[in-house]
Amino acid sequence: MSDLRTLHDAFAELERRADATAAGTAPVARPRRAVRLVPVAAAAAVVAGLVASAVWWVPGDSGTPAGPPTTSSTIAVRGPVPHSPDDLVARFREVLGDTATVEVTRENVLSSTPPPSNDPSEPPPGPGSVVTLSPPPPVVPDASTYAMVGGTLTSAGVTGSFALVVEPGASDVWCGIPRVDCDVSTLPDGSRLATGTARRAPGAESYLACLRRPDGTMVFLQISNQEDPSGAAAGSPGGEIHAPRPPLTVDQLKAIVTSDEW
Amino acid sequence: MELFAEYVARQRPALMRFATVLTCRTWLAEDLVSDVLGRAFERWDRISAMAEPHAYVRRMVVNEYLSWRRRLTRASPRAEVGPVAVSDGADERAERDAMIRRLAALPRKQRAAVVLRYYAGLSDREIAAQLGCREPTVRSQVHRALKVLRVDLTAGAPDFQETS
Repeated sequence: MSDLRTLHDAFAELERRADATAAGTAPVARPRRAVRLVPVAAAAAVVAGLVASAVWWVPGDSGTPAGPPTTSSTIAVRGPVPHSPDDLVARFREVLGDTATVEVTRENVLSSTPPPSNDPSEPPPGPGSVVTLSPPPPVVPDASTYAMVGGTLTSAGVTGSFALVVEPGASDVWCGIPRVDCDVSTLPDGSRLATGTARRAPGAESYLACLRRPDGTMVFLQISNQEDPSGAAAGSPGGEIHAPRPPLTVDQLKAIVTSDEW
Repeated sequence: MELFAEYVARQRPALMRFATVLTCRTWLAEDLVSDVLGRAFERWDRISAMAEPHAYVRRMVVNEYLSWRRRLTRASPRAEVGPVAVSDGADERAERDAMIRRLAALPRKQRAAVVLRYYAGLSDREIAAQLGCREPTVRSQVHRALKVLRVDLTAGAPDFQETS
C-alpha cells in the first residue's frame, strides 16, 4: 500500500512534466517536493503562442493551417476519410442537402498516428530518468490526417450545436459513453450503428449517432440544444440551452451518418 | 477586468499543470488547454466579469476532458519524449512512477474525482457540481479510485499544495 504522499509525489512529477513541456526544453532534474517556481520566460513564450491560437479560434476566421483545397462533389473518386476540415465540411453539407445549414466555428486536424511514447500506459522511463522534449509540430492536413469540426446547425428554424468527426480505423471508443443510453444495431452491409441520447440538464437534450463501417471508418455526429454538443450540466460551461429541442431528430442523425454521400 | 493576455500569462502554467495531472499526458494537456483557452478567448468578456474566472476556465478543462468529443481524439502528434537514463536510482521514484501509471489507468470519471479532491482540494459538493453527479457518487468514485491506486488513507500526509 502507498499513502497520500506518494499520490502527491505523482502530482508533483506530472506538474514538473507540464512545466517542461511548456518550456519546450529538457527539464533540469530537481529535488522532489522542492519549491516550484513558475518559469517566467516560458510563460511569456506561451502567451505569444496563445495569441495565435486564440485568433485561430475566432468564429468565422478560417485560419486553418494551409491544406488541400476544398473537395467538391465533382471529384469522381475520393477516400472514405476527409483529411482536412474543409473537405469534411464540404461533404457534410452535401449529405445535409436542404435539410440543414451549418456554420463551422471549430476545426481540428488530427493524426491517426499513435500517441508518442510518453503515454504512461507504456513502460515508463527508468527511475530518475530525464525526458527530452521538443516543441510540438503543427498538424497540417495530409493523407494521414483526419478532421473534426463543430459549430451550429440550423434546421426548420431551430438552431443547436453539433460536432462531427470521420475517423479512419476502428476506434477503441465505441459506445461506452457514460450516462448515454446507447442502442447498437448491425446493418445489412455489416456496419454497426450506435445511437444515444443524453440529458445533462433539465430541458437539455443531446443526440449521438455513430456508424462504424466494415472497413473500420467511423462517422460520429452529435447534436444538442445546448451550447456544448456533448451536453453539459446546468450552470456549467457550454450548458446554455438555445432551443427547446435539438435541431435534428435521432432518425435524421441515423440517416446522415449512414448516407452514401460521404 | 483582467485582459485575456494577462490572464493567460498568469494562469496558463497552472492550467497546464492541472490538465497534465488530470490527463497524465502532456500532449493531451496541451491540446486541452489550448482548446479551452481558445474558447475562453471567444467569450472572455463574460468570463472575466465573473467572480472567479480561473475556476470557470478550469471547469471548462474538466468538461472538455470528459466530453464525448474528446473521448474520440485518441491520437494527436505531440511532444516527443525520449527517456534518458540517469543513475540516481531511487525506490521512491519507482513508486511514484508506478502511482502515475495506476492513475493513468483509472476510468476518467474516477481520475477526475481524485484529482479534484486531492490535487485541487475541492469538497464533495464542489466536485459533484463539476462532474454533474451527486455527492454520494463522488464519494464512491473516490473510494474506488483510491482502492485501485492502493492508497491507504490511514497513513497521514499533508494536503497537496497546488502550484499556481
